[in-house]
Amino acid sequence: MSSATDRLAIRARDLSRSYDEVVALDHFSLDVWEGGVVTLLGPSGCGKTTALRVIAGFENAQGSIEIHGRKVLDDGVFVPPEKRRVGMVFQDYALFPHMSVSSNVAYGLPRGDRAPRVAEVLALVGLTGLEDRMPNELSGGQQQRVALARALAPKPEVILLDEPFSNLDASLRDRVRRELRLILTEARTTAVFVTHDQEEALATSDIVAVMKDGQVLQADTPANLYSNPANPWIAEFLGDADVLESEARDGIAETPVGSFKTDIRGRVSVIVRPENVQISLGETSNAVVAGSEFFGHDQLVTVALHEGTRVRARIGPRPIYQAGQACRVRATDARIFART
Amino acid sequence: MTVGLITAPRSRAGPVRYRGGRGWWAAAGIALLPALIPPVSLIIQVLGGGATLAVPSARLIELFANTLLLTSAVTLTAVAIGLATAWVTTRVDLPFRKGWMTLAALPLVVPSYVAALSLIAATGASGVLFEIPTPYGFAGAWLVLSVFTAPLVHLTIIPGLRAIDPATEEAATGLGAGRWRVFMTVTLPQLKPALVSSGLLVGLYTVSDFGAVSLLRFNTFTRAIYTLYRGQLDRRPSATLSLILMALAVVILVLERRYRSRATLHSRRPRRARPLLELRSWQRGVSLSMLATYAVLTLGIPILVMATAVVRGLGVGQSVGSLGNEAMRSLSVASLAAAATALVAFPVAMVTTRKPGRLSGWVESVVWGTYALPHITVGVAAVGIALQWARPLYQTLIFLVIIYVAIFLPQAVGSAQDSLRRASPDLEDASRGLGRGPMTTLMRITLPLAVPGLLAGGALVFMSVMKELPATLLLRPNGFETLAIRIWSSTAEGFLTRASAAGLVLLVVSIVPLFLVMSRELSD
Repeated sequence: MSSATDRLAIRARDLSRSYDEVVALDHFSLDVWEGGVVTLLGPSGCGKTTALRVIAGFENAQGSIEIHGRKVLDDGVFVPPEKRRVGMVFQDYALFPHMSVSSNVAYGLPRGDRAPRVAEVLALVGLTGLEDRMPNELSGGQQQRVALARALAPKPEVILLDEPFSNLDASLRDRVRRELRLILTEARTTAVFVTHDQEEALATSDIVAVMKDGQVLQADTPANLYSNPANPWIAEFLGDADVLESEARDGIAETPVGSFKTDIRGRVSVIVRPENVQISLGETSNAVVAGSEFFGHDQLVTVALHEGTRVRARIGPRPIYQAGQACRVRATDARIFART
Repeated sequence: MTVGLITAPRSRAGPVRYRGGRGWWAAAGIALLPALIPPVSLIIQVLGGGATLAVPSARLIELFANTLLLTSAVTLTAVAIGLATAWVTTRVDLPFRKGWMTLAALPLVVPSYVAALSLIAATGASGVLFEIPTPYGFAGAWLVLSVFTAPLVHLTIIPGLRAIDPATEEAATGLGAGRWRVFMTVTLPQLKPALVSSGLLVGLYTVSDFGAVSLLRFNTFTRAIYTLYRGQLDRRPSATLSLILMALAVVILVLERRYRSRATLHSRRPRRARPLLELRSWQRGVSLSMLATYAVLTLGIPILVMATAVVRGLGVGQSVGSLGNEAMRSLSVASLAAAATALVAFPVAMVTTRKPGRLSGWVESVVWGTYALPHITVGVAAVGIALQWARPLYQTLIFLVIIYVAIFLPQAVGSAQDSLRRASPDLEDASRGLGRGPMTTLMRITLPLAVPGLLAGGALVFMSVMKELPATLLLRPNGFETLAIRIWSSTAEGFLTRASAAGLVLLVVSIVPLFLVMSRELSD
C-alpha cells in the first residue's frame, strides 16, 4: 500500500488444501504489494505455515498464485520451487550443516564469482568475519542471520519467513526483529512473515492478515486492525478486550460503562479495550475493584461490575487501588458487533 | 492442475513434498525384490509341491520341544547375565567402568560356530583346558548361546537404565525403601520393556542359530533343515520346515517391535546426571570379578584355546592350510556385499523417511521382516528359486551377493535412516527455494548428509557377511571357501588346528572395528 509502484508482488486466490480430513487452507486469498512487509497472524493450526509453503512451492494446492505477475500455480500450472524466485527463512533455519557460513550463503548464487555478493550480504546482516564458521559453531541469533543472508543472496522477488524469531530468547527477539526490519527495508525486498505472536505482528508489519481455519479474516494496517477489527474474535485475538452484552435500541447500545452509537439493531456485543476504560472514585459506584497487576509504566486493574461482568482498565501507575474499593467505571470508546 | 504423486502427510515432521518421487519408489521397489525372494519362494515350493514333511510327527514334536527348550533356557540365562553386566557398568563406581562396558559388549562379534569350536577344542580327550567329555547336545548349546548372546541384552538395557529418571528412585528412597526394594519396585518395572525386548532379540537369535547347534549336535529346527537339505534330493521337506521356522521367527520379531515402540515411548532424557553408586570394597570386588569372569569366558578362553590348538597342531606337524585365500575371499565378498547393500539401502531409506504414508509403511515392514528370517531358511528358499527359475544363477557369486543384500538390507537401511532423519527435509526445501533442482539438491545436500550413515551401514554389513555361515554354506559357488566355511567344516570334521587358525583370523578382523564402533556408541 505504501509502495509507490502499487504493483502486486504476490496475488494468491482461493488456495485450498487439506491433509486427510483436516483442512489446512480454505479459499485462502492474499495480496502483497511490492516492497511491503505482510504478516500472516493466527493461532497455531490455522494454516499460516501451509500458506507460506504453498506460495514457496513446497506444497501443492488448489487455487492460483501469481508472483510479480507470473503465474506459478493454477489449473495445470505448477512452477517448481526452484523456479519461483522466492526466498525462504525456515523456523529452524535449515542451514546446511555440512557447509560453512559462506558456502551456505553462496549456495543459491549462480556459478561464477560469488564472493562479492556473499561478502555484501554478510555485511548487510552484520556477520562479516564469520565466513568460515560451521553452522553448529554459531549462536541462535547468528544462525538466524545466516539463514536470512542465504535467502537474500540471490535477490529473490519475495522473501518468506516462517516464525523466524520463535527460536530466539525473549531478550534477543526484540533487537533481532528491529534489525531484520531495517535489513529488509534496505534490501527493498517484499516480505511475508508468519507468526502467532500478535505483538510481533503489529510491530513488524505494514499489513497484518489475520488467519483462522485456513482463511484470511481481515487484512489491514496494524493500527486499523487494532482499532477496527472486523469481528469480536479478531478484537480479542489482537490485544486485550472485554465483551459486554447489550441490546441496541434507537441507534444506541446501553452498557453499564456507557452508551455507544451504533447502526445495528437488537442483541449486540460491545467490545471494550482496557486502555479505553477509566476508573474514578467518589461518584455513584457501578463496580468494585477485583484486583490489579502492576507493570511499572502502567497497571491493569480488573473491576467487577455490579451486574456481574468483569472489565479491565489499563491506567497510569497511580493511584493504587485496593481490592474491594467501590468505584465508577466508564469506557470512552467501544466496537459494537451484532450478536448471532 | 497437474497433481502428481501427492498423498497426505501425517505430520509436519515428514510432509510429502511437491510432485515427483516416482524414481525413488521405483528404486526402492527394485531394492526390495531380493528381500521378497525367501518367503515367496518357500510358499511356492511348499504349496506348489504339496507340503511334505517326510518327518514323522514324533520327530517334529521333538524338534519343536528342543527348539523351545533351548530358546527359553538361553533367553532367561542371557537376560540374567546381560542385566547384571549392564547394571554394574552403568550404575556402579568401578575403575575403568567404560572399558568394562565395552568389553561386555564385544562377545557379540564372536560367531556362534567360533564359540562352539572353542568349547570343543577346550574339552574332550585331547582338550586344551579340561580333559572332560565335550558337552555335546543341550548343555553345550545352552552354555555357548547364553554366554554369547548376553551382549544383546547388555546393549538394550544400558539405554533403558540411562532413561530412568534418578528422581523416581530417589523418591522411593525418600519414602523409606531400601536399595533392594527400590531396585525391585522402581527400577525393574521401568526396565520391563527393555528387558522383554532384549529377551525377544535373544530368542530370535537362538531359533535362527545354526553354527552352535550344528557343531554341538543339538537337534533344533535349523540343524534338522540342513540335515534334510543335504540328505534328500526332494527339497520339499526342508522347505516345509523352513517355512515353519520362518513363521516362528516372524512372530518373535512382531512381538519385539511392539515392545520396542512401547519402550521408546517411555524413555525420556532424565533431567540430571545420576551419581554413581559407591559400593563397599567386597561388593566392588564381587562386581569386578563377575565382569572379569565374563570377559575371560567370552574372549580370553576362545583366543587362548584356539591359539593353543594352533601351536599344538603345528607342533605335531599339522598344517593350518592356505589361510590367505580364505581370508581374501571373505574380505572381497564382504566388501562387494557391503557396497551393494549400502547402495540399495539409500532409496529405501529415502522413501521411508521422506515420503511417509501407507506404502512406505509396507516397505518398512518388508525390510524389518527380512531381519527376522533365519539365514538357513533364506538359503533353502534361494536354492529353490535358483534351481527352478534361474538355473544359471545357481552357485554363482552374483547370486550369493544378491542374497546377502536381502539378508543384511535392514542393517544398512536402519543406519541410512538415522542420518536422513537427523537431516530435516527443510534442508531439501531450502535448496529448492534457492533455485536448485531436484538433482542438484540430491547431490549437494541429501547425499552428503546421508553418506556417514551409508558408510556405517556398509561397515555393519561387511562385518556380518564376514561371519555369515548358513546361507553361504548353501549358496556359495563350488569350492568357494570363506573363513566362516573353513571354520565350520574343519570343526565338524575334527581338524581343530585348521579351524582354530581361521577362527583367530576372523576374530581379529572383526574385533577391531567393533571395538571402535562400540566405544563410540556407548559413550553417554
